[in-house]
Amino acid sequence: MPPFGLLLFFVVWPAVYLAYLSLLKWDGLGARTFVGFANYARIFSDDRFVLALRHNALWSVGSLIFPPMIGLGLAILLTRTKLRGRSFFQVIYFLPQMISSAVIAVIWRWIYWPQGGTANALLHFLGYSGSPEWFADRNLALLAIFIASCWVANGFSMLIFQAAISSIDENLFEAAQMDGANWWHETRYILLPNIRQALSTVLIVSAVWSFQIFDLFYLTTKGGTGDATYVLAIGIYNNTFTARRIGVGAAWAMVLMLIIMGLAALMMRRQGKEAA
Amino acid sequence: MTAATPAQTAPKRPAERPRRPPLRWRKALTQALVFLLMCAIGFAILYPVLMVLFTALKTDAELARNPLGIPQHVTLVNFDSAWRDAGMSKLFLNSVMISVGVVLGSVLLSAMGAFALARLEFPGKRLLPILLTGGLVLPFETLMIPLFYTFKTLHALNTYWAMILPQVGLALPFGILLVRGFIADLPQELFDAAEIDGAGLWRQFLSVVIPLARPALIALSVFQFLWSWNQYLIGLVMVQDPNMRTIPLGLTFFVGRYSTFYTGLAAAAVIAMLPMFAMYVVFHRQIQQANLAGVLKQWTLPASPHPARL
Repeated sequence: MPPFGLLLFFVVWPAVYLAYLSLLKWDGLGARTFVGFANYARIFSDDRFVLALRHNALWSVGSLIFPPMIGLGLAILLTRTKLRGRSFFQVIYFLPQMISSAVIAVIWRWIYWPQGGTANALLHFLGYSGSPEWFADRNLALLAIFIASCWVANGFSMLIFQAAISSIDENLFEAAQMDGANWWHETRYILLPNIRQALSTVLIVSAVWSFQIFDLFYLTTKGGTGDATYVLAIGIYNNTFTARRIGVGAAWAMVLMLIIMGLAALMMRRQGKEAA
Repeated sequence: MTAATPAQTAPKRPAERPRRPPLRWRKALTQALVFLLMCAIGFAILYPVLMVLFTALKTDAELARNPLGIPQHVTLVNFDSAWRDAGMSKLFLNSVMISVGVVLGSVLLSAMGAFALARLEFPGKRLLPILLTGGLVLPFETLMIPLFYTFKTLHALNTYWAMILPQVGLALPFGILLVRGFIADLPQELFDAAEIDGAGLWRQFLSVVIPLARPALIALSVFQFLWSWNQYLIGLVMVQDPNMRTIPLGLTFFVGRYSTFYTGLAAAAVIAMLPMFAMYVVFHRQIQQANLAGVLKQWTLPASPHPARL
């Protein structure tokens, strides 16, 4: 079966090869030396690795809260209000999902441009007189990238929630209205309990995505700003392709792989229980 | 005993009603507020895109005078210079070749894989949930090192293949699960009837699965095209030759080289976005109706008695 053969070649083989590479000391060209778990010992005593893990964890907390909440809000607005032009708004709200990370980086660099960018113009309008240098500010760089990423990620949660809400039986809402339920009651007692499956889907995907983030970081700060935006995937890339320590890079990648597999296993078991 | 009978609750509600403004007015007011809110959100989301578009339509002189406003004299000169002088045409061609290759390969193979998964018994089938889940969640970030060195050993870096094949491989689990969800819903009688009529597996695949799964296949094509067109990291790792770069890759080198040529950069960004926007306008229904949640629900593959373990 060609599809499964390809799958083996692009999923199983690289995973095995990666595990092997993580046990080597190798510069990509010369001789390979087997060093056992030395690379792992090395990264766990590396401050940058700990920092990267912390940034990824922080990011996952943020992206388990904000995009799902905003996406749910947008989905409720779009499905539970009977306005004309809903589909127009729907198209607009999902639009950022169509944009490549390379373009997103270009756009947001302009927005965060310290002199005359929209972000600072907005701050001045709100009465704040400073001009923070977003991407170049250790305390703000991670937040700045997170806001740019939310701009895109909201659309995904919105799409999933919208599908879930539209599949709820309309009669439930009508019955509730007959009983005098207001907007909040409908949301709290009918809408939310019926989209739990969608919620868990959104949370799984957000958690998995939070650990593999790379593009926006590489394209805006390269993980720099005094390591304030160093994340796991940046560490993998830098160690392997910039510093040419393939074994170390592979060890970083193994950690990322284990984290993602762990999250996936956790969620699969949860879903299995819910289905049973 | 505590449950109120309708007769008890009924008089309560009309008594409350006169205190509120008339229902029709309140409804109209809420509608107007909701509409305004939706417009405000829409503007906030659209603003960054409009800003790039406006910048691309201004001359350098006008950008200096009027950095954030609507262009007064619309010009297309930036598009011309981005397309020709900055080599966007070459990047565009590469992007088209690669994305079309990825879509053709991944959609065809996903359909075959989904058909096999839904309708056939074969050795090792019980292991597939694990393989598919692994493929679904493992990102290129984890696999880039081994894939880079595998392609290097095969002397296949800096080729279209180096970008198409990994994308097809990584896209397959999603594609297979998306199409499988669709095929699994088809009645078994269809396949039985085809078999009685003497249709072999290939024939069943071509004349039953492909036509009936068309909505799923179209949605999948749209998703894969979108994903491939915007893909950045795979190109960054697999290709160093400037002549092989795709639009997202080229754009970032553009940023370095023309760091003060904002209008040209904006035009290049618009060229990068336009095909996706056009596709979105045509296919937004398919995107919204694709059963994305269904893909993830199949993580547990209901066919197996207990959830697959890793």
